[in-house]
Amino acid sequence: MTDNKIPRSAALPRFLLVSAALVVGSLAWHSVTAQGEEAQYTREGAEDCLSCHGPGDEHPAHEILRTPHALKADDRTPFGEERHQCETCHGPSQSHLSRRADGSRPPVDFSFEGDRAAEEMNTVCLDCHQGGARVHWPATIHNQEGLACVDCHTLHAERDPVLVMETQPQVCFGCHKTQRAEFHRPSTHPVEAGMLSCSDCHAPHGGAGPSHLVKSTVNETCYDCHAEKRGPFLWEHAPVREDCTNCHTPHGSIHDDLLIAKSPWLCQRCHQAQFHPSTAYSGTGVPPQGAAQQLLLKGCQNCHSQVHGSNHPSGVRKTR
Amino acid sequence: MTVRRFRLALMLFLAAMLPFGVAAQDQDEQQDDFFGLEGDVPEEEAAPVFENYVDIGAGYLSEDSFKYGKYTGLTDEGIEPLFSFRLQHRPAWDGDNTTHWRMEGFRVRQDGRRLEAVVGQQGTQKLAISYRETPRFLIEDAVTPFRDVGSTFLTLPADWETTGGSTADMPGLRDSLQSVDIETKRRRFQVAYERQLPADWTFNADYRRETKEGTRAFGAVIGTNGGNPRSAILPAPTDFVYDIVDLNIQYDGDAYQVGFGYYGSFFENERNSLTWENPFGQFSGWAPGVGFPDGLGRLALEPDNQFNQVRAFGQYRFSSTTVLTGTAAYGRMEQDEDFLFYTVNRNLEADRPLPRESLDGEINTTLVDIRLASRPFDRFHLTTGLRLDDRENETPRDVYYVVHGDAGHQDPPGSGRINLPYSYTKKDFKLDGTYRLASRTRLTAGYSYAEEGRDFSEVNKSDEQGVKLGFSAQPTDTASIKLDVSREERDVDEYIGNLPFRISHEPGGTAGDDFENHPLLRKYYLAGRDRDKVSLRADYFPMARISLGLSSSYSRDDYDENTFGLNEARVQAHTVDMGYVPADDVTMTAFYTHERFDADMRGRSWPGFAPQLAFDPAQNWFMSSDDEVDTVGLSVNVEDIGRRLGMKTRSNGQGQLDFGVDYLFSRSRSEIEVTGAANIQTAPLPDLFTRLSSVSVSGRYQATAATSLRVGVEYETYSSRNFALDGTEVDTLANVLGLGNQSPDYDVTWVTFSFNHRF
Repeated sequence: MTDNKIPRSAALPRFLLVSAALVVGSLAWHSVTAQGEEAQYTREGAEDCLSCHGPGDEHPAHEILRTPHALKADDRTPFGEERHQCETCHGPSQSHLSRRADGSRPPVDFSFEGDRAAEEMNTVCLDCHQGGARVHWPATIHNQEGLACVDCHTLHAERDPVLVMETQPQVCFGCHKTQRAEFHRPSTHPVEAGMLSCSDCHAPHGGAGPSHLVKSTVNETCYDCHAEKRGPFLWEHAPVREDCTNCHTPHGSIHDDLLIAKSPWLCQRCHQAQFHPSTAYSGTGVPPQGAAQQLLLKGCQNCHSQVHGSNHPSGVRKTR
Repeated sequence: MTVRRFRLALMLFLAAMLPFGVAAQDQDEQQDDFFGLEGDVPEEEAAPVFENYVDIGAGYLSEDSFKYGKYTGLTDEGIEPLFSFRLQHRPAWDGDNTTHWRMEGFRVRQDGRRLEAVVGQQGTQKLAISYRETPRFLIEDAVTPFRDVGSTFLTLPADWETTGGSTADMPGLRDSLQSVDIETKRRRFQVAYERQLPADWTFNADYRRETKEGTRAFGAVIGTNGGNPRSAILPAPTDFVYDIVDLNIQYDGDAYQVGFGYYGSFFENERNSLTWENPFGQFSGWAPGVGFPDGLGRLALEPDNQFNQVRAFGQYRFSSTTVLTGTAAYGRMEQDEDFLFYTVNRNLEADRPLPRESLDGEINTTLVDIRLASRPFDRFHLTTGLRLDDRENETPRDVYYVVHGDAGHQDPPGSGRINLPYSYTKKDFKLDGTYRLASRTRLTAGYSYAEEGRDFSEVNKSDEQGVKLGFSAQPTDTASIKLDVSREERDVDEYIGNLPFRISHEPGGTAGDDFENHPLLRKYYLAGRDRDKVSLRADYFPMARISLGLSSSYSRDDYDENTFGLNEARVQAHTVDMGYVPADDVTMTAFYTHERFDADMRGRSWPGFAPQLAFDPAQNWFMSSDDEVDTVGLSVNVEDIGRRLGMKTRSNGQGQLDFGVDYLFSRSRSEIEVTGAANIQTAPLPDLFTRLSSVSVSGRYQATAATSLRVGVEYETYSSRNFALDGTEVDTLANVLGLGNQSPDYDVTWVTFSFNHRF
């Protein structure tokens, strides 16, 4: 028995060695276990997910099967042959199928809500969508403002409201509240009538133009539909050539033709020549006190109708 | 309704929603039994999945109104058919097929309608064809003595008489008036094709043809100068054709994307001039033969033109945190429509020929926009940008000897006018930084510098510097706030007010110190300016189902108050809004927006026959405008309200009754005040105002799993007052023959009933 005893001098190192092995082993086991949990995808993929996230669920996702994101035959999509369906975006989430002791479920590996930074969420989307219309995205105001793709896009719906003309404005108005009111003014573009959408003029993912416009400048954007005002004309109107918004406000105005102010005072901001251009127009020109031709009907445009430019050799005063 | 009254209405609405708020506090317990009907839903088959629908019905409009149906075409009293549909096919998500298609029609039987057909193989190619009609009903009560409306030669009745140069001198005017609708319609046909090419390339081709046809109101004057003009508001033809081509090829790689594109826009006007018989009799100051019956007037309508542009754009990723994006585009606008002659009146002396047969107008456009976005540290985001926007107008300059208003003989040699083909160059630099303190808490700062150069302009060079600061935070899960302030200062090297006047006259035609606009006038888009802006936005979720929002902005443009023209402009907008979801199937929203636009302007009235008065401060006048707009929106939508009323709803949806109420109120008021110094007589102006009030109630009953019935009633009133129109008859103005239209008012009810079938 005595021979079998471990000498005292060797016991400590062996203890330490075994302890170290146990610690390392435990850590390794824990690591493997943890890693295994993190790396595990559900066995059935979307079938597992949609067994809960169907109609009536707080987070219904079943409609995704009727969207371009879900197509096995398209390798580019999250549901492509070699991909992980819902977990392509949400990460491996086998653990989400289990329950904790308190009955709650562990969260999915990656959810697009809560405290997560927009950049982090957007990375998942841009992993596939960094091309196309998103080329300019990194330097856009929307990106600088910390907007997440899911702030505007509803991925699980059969029809993403921001991609449907009738419903898109309501998505934009969620943040652009002043513009929502502007479209109820007496003079507007036909957005409320469902005949024009915000994205007809704006590129929310960015572009070369100001204010996320679809074209490089304000005027190029306006000319896309109003090319008759492009010219060049023989007799140009200088502020028109530079920027349509010098006189017009695009979303809505209380004055006719989306003008920023009423004629003749809008015109008098730049035209105060002798006689009628510099005259003070007031109630003396309104019936019954008077009837000023520069004040009533179309104001200055009763005569100077070619405000966008004239191509008539005698049209120097924009009357031809 | 006054502002006070609709504010009261908003408060009452919010108060009315409070009980729902209390009920929702313990939503987990009460949500399924919100209206005390737990257990009424029978367990039956699941709701089937439908992809297609057809919506057929009819609506009834209670009275005519152009304004109500301005863009929809719902303008005439009576019954209007309703028809919308969607037919589509998507491949099974787990199948091998990738072919999908969709056909959709929106308000197919109305004047404002859309149709679209899309077919494609996902991941390979897609073809989309669409058609859109958008009417624009402008004036419904217009009258005119002119005949042949729609043509390019408007004539007067055969028995037209004049006894002088005023509308009072047209004895047969009232009897000769005929109604004319001022309206246009835009039709858009578009074909778009997208093809996925090998090696991550994509090709897009988009062609669009639009036409715009109809009648517009166009001011048309005859007269040699401001002293003897006689004008008529004409029902002028609009007959435009636009062809737009957009081609794009793009490579989307992992490290970089690059694309090349072409944009072509071709405008053609089928009516290049408009001629009219002068309805006014001969007037002093006109050359002989200008008044009725011999005199004519002629306008040049918009000339054909085209724009061709090529562009390159791309993105390069230096690393996962630094990205360069950019666009370079070069384009050319061209216009070479044949000129009309100086005058259409043969009685006028106009011997000097045109310097050229057409303009040969050409503007070259260059755009370079480069931006660098980088995150040098984990929490710091930096964006910098350089931009060049250049418009080089190469249109030739020539001397034109004008015939003023088809009423006088041609200007003599030495009095010719020279066209001013404006060019400009704008260069911008921007630097913006964002530091993220926490996931949703950020500090932002930015600096901008811009240079503008122009020719033929009062201002040759100007520059503008701007700084901005911002802060946004989400201190709790239920609250967020965002504050931004900025200041921009635009400096002008030198303002030479009479430069365009001098250089647009034939050499020797003006003296060096001659001026047209007053020397103290500063055009607002050119002048030195300080611009200050501040905006605030706050959102708060006091409970999981309630959201409250506040959005407010203020901006002030400050010009030199010692000059004429615009001195100051202020814009402010304030919005409060609320969303409330007391149960999963009940949604309530409300918002109120108040906007205000103030502007101050100065001027000096001086007649040309007393030029010394141009320097007399007693001739000064001051104008201030105060525009206010208030908008209120309320909306309540309840799904399956029938269940709450004791009606049975099957789990496939059959028997479900949905209900919605929407209210919108928008009111604008514009106060314009003009006062004068000692020599200027003024009087108060009537306020301008508009008021829109709309209530709509809708219900939808799900008769079977696939079929539903919808009923909607909308009651909308609109009233407006505009002193420029109200009471101004066709002959109220001595010098202008009007259309007699008044400010629009309406009071309509729009009732709809439709049958929706899904399959």
